[in-house]
Amino acid sequence: MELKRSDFRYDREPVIRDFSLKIFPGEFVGVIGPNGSGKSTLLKLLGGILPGAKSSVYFDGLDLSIQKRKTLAQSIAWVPQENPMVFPFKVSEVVLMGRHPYLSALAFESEEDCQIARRAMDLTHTSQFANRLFNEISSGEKQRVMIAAAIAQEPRAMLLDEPTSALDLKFQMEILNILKIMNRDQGATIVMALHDLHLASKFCDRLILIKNGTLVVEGSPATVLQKEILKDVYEIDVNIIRDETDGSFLISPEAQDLNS
Amino acid sequence: MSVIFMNKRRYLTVVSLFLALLAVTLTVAPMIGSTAIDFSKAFSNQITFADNVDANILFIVRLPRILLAALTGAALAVAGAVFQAVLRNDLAAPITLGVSGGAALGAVIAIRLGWAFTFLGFSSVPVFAFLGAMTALAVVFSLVRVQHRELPTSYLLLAGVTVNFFFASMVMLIHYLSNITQSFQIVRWLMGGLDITDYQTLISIAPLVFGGIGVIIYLSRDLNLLSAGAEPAMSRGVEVVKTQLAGLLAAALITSVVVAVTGPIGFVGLIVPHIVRLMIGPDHRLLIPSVMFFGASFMIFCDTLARTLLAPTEIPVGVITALIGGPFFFWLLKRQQSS
Repeated sequence: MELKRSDFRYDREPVIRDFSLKIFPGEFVGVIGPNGSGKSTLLKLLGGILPGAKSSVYFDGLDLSIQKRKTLAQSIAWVPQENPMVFPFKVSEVVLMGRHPYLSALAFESEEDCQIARRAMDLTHTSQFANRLFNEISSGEKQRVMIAAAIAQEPRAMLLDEPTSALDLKFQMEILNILKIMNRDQGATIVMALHDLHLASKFCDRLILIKNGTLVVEGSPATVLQKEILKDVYEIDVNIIRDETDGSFLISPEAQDLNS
Repeated sequence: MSVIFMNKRRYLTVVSLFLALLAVTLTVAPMIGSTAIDFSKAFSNQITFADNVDANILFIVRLPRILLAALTGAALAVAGAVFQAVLRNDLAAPITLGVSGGAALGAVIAIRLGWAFTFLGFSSVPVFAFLGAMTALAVVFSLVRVQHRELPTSYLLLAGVTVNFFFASMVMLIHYLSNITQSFQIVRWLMGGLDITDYQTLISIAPLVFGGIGVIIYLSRDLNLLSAGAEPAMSRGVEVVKTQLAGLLAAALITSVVVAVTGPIGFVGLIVPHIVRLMIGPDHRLLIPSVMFFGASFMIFCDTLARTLLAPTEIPVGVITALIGGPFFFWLLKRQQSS
């Protein structure tokens, strides 16, 4: 997956500026950066779901904009941070929507499609509320259902926008472990936007730090998560503590001296 | 615990139940009316058709009217379901979006210009109605495109109301400038009625209605994804803009062909999709055919009431649907407010 010197703007306000990026098959990449830095937009660009974007995004060397949506959807899945539904779809129906790219217009899902959806729900522990309405479950459950739908899509690359933002510690770990398994066992490329720098350093092979729509620095967690860099981007002083059990980094913001 | 998904069997069961409902309504409705018909006489070969009063009432008066009611109900209800899915809005319907108003304006202009002239083999009224509906839709669609994100209900309804007001004023102006005969035609038409019809009209609109609904049925799984959000739909392989355009065009087409014949009949397009969704859920593969059959049955039911409640006087069917639909719309608004 490759992004070549891309720009993107909403209403003339540039969100992504002159951005170039290469993501290799089987990588686990974290996109980090402050609020409003363009993380979500970057993911959408990579997924080709910003129509009219003047960017050249390539998947497997092919320009996204000239490919059929269905072909694309068989390779790349995108998981939004939240997805409000207007109509009362059941959880199982939402997950089964992940099979859409494999079905012709008037076809019904086959038994195989249903099996794939069931497995995706088992993996994300969403089977127990499969028959409930999507609108009536908690936001953490919704996030897991959206991930189940993306897994049912059987993509080679998954783009996730803050997949753990509404989850408690247990489910954060569970979701990230699922992604890790998808990444390790099925070779799925994972690109996710994340606020939690510690979790990002725990799971990602590579971090991409962006600010104001431009790339600040990219590389291994150890290269990116440095005191000076973070001060520059987040405008706060931090202490970085290495967790020796797994080599991840704890970022501890320095308490401000409120008396000064 | 095993999860049960939609399958062909459930699909066939549900759709054939709704089809059965329509079959029953279609059979019962011709028997009811201000004049009692003797069916043995109506189907008798002994009397020539011209002298057979029962057969005349049945085949010339009631049957075409009932068939028109079925077509109209089916078209408006399916159009409503499509508008709701594409715009992701509970309250979208031909009437609330101004599409019916646009079609009305087009039709009134055609009436004012005189019924006589035809365009590409069609009478001018449906052609103008379609153009009017498209204008209203273009306004709404431009809002959807510009906004890109979620279109808030208030925004959409406000746009619909504005479009409706604008078109209604135009209708009033044309009405004011018309002579007595045209004015009468316009008023009768605006009330919404199924009474002036013949088989020729039915034959000319049926293919367009079925064609439009066919396109919509073809899009039904795409509509499921679209109703769950444009960007998620795109990421699952839906050609979003094409689907939106095709769906809205087909819905506007079927709305305007029936509105051109019957006049604006309100609320069917709003109520029927909701009732059916409450019964069978939001999957459009099931919903569209079910809404089609239920809409047809509902309209025949309303028209039977219109014909018989104050018999021998007839109430315009638009009055009946609005009397049922108004309170229902209010209830929907209330419910949306509380959630």
